[in-house]
Amino acid sequence: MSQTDPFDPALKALLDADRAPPLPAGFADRVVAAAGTRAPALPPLRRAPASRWRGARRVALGIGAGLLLSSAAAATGMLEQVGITLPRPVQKIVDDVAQTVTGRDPAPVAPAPAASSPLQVVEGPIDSSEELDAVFSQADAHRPDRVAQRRAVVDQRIDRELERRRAAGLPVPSAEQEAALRQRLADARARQDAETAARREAIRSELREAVAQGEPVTREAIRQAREEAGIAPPPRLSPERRAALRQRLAQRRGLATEAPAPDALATDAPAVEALPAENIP
Amino acid sequence: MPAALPERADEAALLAQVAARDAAAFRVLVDGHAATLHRIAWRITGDGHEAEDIAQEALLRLWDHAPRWADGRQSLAAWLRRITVNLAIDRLRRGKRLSGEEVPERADEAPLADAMLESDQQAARARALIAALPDNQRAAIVLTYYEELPNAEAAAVLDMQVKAFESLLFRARAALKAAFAADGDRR
Repeated sequence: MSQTDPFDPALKALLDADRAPPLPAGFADRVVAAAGTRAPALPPLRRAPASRWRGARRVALGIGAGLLLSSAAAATGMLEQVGITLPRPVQKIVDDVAQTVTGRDPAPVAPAPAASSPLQVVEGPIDSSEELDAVFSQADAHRPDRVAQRRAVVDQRIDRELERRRAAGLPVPSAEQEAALRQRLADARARQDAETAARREAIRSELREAVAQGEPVTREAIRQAREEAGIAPPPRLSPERRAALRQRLAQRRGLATEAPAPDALATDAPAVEALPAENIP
Repeated sequence: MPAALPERADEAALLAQVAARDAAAFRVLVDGHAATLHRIAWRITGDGHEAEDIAQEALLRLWDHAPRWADGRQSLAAWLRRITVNLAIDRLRRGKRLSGEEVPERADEAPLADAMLESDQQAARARALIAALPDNQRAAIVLTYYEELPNAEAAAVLDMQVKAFESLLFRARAALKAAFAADGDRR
């Protein structure tokens, strides 16, 4: 064994004591016999000879694939959705190609929403007309989303209630009655919007006047003014109050089941209940 | 007694003959390399049957590969050692996967203690120390200590950079010394 190993003599002696067994007799004969019966090895994989055009072909394929993907993205309007606007001639070519391939007119693509300017945050009392306008702008920016969310909830409740009645075999408004109901709802919403806008503008005029006279306006004052005008957002109900309202609604549904009447059903729909009382004609 | 290894030029001629499916030429190569391959496989796996199987498989791969053998590559001996070490380590790892535990130490195969001569006891202790090493460290010790290969050749067998192999060998020697010291303390 090696004489240059960094093992101490005792360890070397121990390692050297281990001697490998000899090769079994007839080993070589068995190997040669096995080679004779061994299945031939698979041929090497065929590969095209190296060519300088292979790299160029790959590059061309990559560019082609990229063009194809970007054209598809442009044709489906995906680029506009992420704020990338193609030059008009290029967009026209893309639209023409898409129309040729799909046989349909290109779908009008909604322009990307303009980046909204960051809203100014006003802290403390409002003592200038600029700050007051900033607060109003902030409220105006959020209002459409909030109104849309609330109205979507109302629409969902109407649909659920109609579905529940159909599933339970209860009478439901006919198509004409439902259309009339929805029209009444839309009218009520339009009236509500107009009235609220008028009240809001009145409050704003008072607040602007107060600021112009040097009286700082607090948020608490704005909230009180909105409450007095009846345009403050509905207060959050306590769990007990919500439970009581649910129970009352269930009782009314029970009564409606006992005495079904199309007119009663139409006016008993929760969408109408969800509206403020003054909005129901 | 194994046959002397053929010279490099003779080896190339023999390989060409093996590529032409000459069993006699193959027999010459088998005689020249089988003992080394069997010894390496036995020291790594610790199992006589496995060692025989591994050596045979390595030589049969030479039979398969001979038609594609390219001149100027590494020596045939180095190529066969590499195949053998890889096969042996594969068997060890497969054994661990199948059993879900470490490969039993070779002491299990030793005869009963009361029947062993002192030399057998020493050999069994040595085998147990080697078997306790991780696979790569075990191969490094086998190749450098028992087969007396230079570090560069041993690194090529394990498909490692020389620096990385030297680091592996350092750890293997340290582990072996520590195991030996611990074994001495127990006695």
